[in-house]
Amino acid sequence: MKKKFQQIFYDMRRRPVITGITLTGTAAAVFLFMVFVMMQAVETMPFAPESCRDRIMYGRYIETAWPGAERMMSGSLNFDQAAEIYGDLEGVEKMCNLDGWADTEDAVGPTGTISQVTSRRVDSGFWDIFDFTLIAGRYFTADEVEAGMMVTVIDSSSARRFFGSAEEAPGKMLDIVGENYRVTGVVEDVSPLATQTYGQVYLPLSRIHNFNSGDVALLVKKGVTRESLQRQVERRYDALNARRDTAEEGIYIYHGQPYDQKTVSGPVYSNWTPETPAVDWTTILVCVILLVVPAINLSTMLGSKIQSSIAEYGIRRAYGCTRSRIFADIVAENMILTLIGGIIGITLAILFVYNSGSLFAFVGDSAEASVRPPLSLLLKWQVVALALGACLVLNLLSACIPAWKAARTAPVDAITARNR
Amino acid sequence: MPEITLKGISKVYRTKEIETTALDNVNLDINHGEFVSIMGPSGCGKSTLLNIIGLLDTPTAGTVGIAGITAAGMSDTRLAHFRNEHLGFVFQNFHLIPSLSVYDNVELPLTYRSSIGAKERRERVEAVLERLGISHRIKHFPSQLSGGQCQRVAIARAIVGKPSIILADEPTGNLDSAMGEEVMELLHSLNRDDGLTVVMVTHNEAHARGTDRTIRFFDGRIIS
Repeated sequence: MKKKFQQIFYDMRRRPVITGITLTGTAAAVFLFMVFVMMQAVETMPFAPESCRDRIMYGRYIETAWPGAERMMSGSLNFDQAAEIYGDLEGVEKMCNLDGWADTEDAVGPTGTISQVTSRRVDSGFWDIFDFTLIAGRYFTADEVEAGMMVTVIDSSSARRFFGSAEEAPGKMLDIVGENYRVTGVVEDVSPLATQTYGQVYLPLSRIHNFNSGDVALLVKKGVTRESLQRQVERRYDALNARRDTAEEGIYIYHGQPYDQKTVSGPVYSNWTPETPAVDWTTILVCVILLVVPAINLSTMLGSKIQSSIAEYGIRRAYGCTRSRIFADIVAENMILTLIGGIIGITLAILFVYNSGSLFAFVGDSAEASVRPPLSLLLKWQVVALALGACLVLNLLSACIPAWKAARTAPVDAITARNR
Repeated sequence: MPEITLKGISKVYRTKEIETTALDNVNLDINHGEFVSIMGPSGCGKSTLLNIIGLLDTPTAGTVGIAGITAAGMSDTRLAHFRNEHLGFVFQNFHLIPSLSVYDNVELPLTYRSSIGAKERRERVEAVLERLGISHRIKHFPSQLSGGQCQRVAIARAIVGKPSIILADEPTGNLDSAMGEEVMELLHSLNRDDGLTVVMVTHNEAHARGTDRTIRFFDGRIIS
């Protein structure tokens, strides 16, 4: 390993331009790849409070149609529909009702200052499924929700804005759209990129105050597939339809619920079955292009670098180095260089993504604001593993052909550089 | 039994337009412990012959035997191991690896031999550098050495693996006469004291006269 670093530092001194371009090219390739990956990851990769994104499914919307008539109706679930369709499904650990959409509303604190807040209505099960960090007070309870009590949980920024600090907020009153809510607890701020949970004030979603239940979030047990839940839900639809007076009440149209995180990160409409292809070919194609194009350039440069020192490989072979070892040595040396470039690339990508909130304007409720993604998301091991994977692919794509050519060159041709 | 046996060796280079015969039916035996020089005008096939003896190149026809083993049909890996164990090379322009220190250059053949551990490698490298009088340059890089020192390092690299044959292609070609004499003395000492077989291509009549036998080449054939 020491000798490989020696070789790299020697190359840096002897061929600073080629080595510099290789490093810059690698860094740029990994940078672009990682920015793209992070933009994708932000929609599906788990991060608090949506740390179980891979196990959370959403029941959303219901469509009613009248066969033979050009009449249909679609919209949010009501509480009974939510319970009948999604209650007690096999393989589901926990369930909650939540409003799929956050609202912007006026709030008035004790000082009388009016400020806009993003509110989301949820029931008490919401706190069990999503892992919020409670800073002060407590979450509102099932009893409080069922009793229609005017209670709220707010985020720490709102607590500071209205009450001076998080610790001061619990027990205080907050006027939201003319209704007085008592703050029961304060949670850590949530990134607007957490599309299903983002809010600044959380209000109780109860039958007393709300006609619809909005969405249903299901925390499923490990290993339970979406397909198995879909089968159960579809059977529930059938059972409900069997009890309905078709002509009078219409029938419920099943649209593939429940939806996983990947599905809800895209467009979901109430009268439409969203497509969630198992393989996202567009993403794969973009990733391939982002890696293959620079790999071709890097490969050409590596090829020229190897040719300029091909005699060295001839000498190594004269003294007993095998073809496979020549190949492995070149790939390994290039891998080190690629990793150095990759580390530069990933660092730049993290800094760029962290400081370029407008990149995420397309994600959920962040549409109107510049949103800084949480560092915990950008520094996830999966992101680092992806960057390393990209480096590995880039290295193999760029190094294999030149390394193979060098390994196949006859020692005498290499020593006398007859093939140049 | 001869250390090196060449039977009916021919080497023809073909391109689309032209066919060049570098070696034409060469037969040659070189005994163990012999110091043989090969002479001839430029382009007569001397270096090609040396490369074929060194198993760096393959003949178009004929067979090469080294230490009683025929090289024909050996896999590339086997050839690499064989070269590593039996052959040492000294080139006119040294061919040291510029990114490696003197120590690492000399150690190179041993790194391809899995039977030798790090401790033994270090001992062998230090011993051979001491013997060639360049141990004070152990941490230097080739660019920091004179031509004579580079050739000494190259010879150290050639003998560190304890081969039975040294193949030297104009080893004094890039050196001044004093340095050239030193290198020749080194090769003679390896032949005389260690019993190594030395095959040397040279243009220098005086150096050739000092060897046990001189083979003269012309147009790919041995003429005397």
